Amino acid sequence: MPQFTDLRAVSRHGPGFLTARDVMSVAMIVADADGRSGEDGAERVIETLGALPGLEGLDRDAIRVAGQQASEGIARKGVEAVFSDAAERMDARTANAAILLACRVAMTDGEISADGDAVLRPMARRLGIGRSRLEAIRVLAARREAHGETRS
Amino acid sequence: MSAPRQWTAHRPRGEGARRLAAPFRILVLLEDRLTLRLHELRDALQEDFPQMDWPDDPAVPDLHFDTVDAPVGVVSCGRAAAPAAITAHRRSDIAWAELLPRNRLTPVDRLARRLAAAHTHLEIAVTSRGPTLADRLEAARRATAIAAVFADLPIAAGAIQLWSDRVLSPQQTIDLAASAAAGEVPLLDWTLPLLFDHDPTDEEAGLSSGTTVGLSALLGYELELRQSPEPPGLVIAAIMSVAQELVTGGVVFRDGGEIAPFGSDAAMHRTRLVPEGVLGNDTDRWSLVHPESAFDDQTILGRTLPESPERGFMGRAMDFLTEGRLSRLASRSAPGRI
Repeated sequence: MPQFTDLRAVSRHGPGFLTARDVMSVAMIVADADGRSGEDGAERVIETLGALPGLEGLDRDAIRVAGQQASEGIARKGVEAVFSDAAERMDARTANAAILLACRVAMTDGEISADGDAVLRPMARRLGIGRSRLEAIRVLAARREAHGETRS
Repeated sequence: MSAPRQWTAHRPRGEGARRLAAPFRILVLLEDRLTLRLHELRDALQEDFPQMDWPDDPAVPDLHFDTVDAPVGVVSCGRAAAPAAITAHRRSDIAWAELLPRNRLTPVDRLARRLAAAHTHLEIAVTSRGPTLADRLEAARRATAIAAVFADLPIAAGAIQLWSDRVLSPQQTIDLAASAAAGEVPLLDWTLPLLFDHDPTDEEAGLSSGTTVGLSALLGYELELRQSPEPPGLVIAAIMSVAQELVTGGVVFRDGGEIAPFGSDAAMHRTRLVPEGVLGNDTDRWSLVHPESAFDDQTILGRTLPESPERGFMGRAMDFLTEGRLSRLASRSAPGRI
């Protein structure tokens, strides 16, 4: 159901704004579970966001606003509510992108921690991503982190 | 023949007075269901139109608004106007067959198709504090600003100003509100100039007639020009030029007075009051009569006094003396003259 404030954000920042916010919300939830403080995790997510499907038209300012809204949404509404809303809107490609981003943020300092993994796996499952697919995404994320690929 | 009408400033009555008391209503047509908390709307108005006051009125609760389940909301306009009422309902009385041609649209135009397909109708109604022009302009500004906030959403198909029958695209609605918020009076967008035939043979005779639609929401009357020998474009331009003068220049009409639509070099048009009902008018109208117009206002509406009113007894007596008539009369009647 279209929400007024979300629609205003789309109007100002482009059609990919909500997708960016959903993707970053998922990544921030994992980053938080992985032991990163809220602000640090949010900054890392915003920095790492690559050229995700449907986000080609978004500029850095829009991504930063989407990141801030994602962070505020988690603080205000809670992890479960934000994730449920995001999962409802995501298609398969966006879900893959969200988990990829979450993995990369969690791998910033090496491997994903046990706490981060405990959150990542059920989230991936709820987004329709199976175990083998998740492993493939983790490999891809590790490779990209190793090469230091970020959005330019 | 009826007695010459005295000069009087126009005082709205009947339908004109009713229109000055009626709210400015704008429909924003949406392509999807919409939900919000009323504080979100107020925040958006404060963000988009900071030059206007949108206070957090404790008497107006921050309710949930949903175009389906909770279709009534109120937004405070502070002291500028009565609180704006926002309602959502499917309007079945939109006369597209008349509305589209009036706005030079056809049913296949993109805007017309989007409007017709939009099934959620959001109605914004803002009532002025009083009937003065300043109050009416402020209420129109408020209604336009609220409409623009909704028109800015990607699900907005367009808007209809119900007082003027004006159909606007989302971008036109936004631009209009920005102009009004900047203190301008966007009369060309708040009224709809319309050509009409006074007589079926007018077109053949090269005569044009035009009228405003919606000016009565600001002034209590409409403005028209009947059977002018000028081309239609010039007739509309003349009407809107005078309308702008009325709204922003403080011009006051007098029955039988004169006005030059484009300034002092233009042809002087006689100004005639056509009261509600006289020529089938649903409200009072002021008619501009071109010097070569085929519209015989003196017969149809009654004779008017010339621009300078007739002088009283003392004035005429002084004229009599200064013209030397008295001295001539005295000499004619002098003793000894035969």
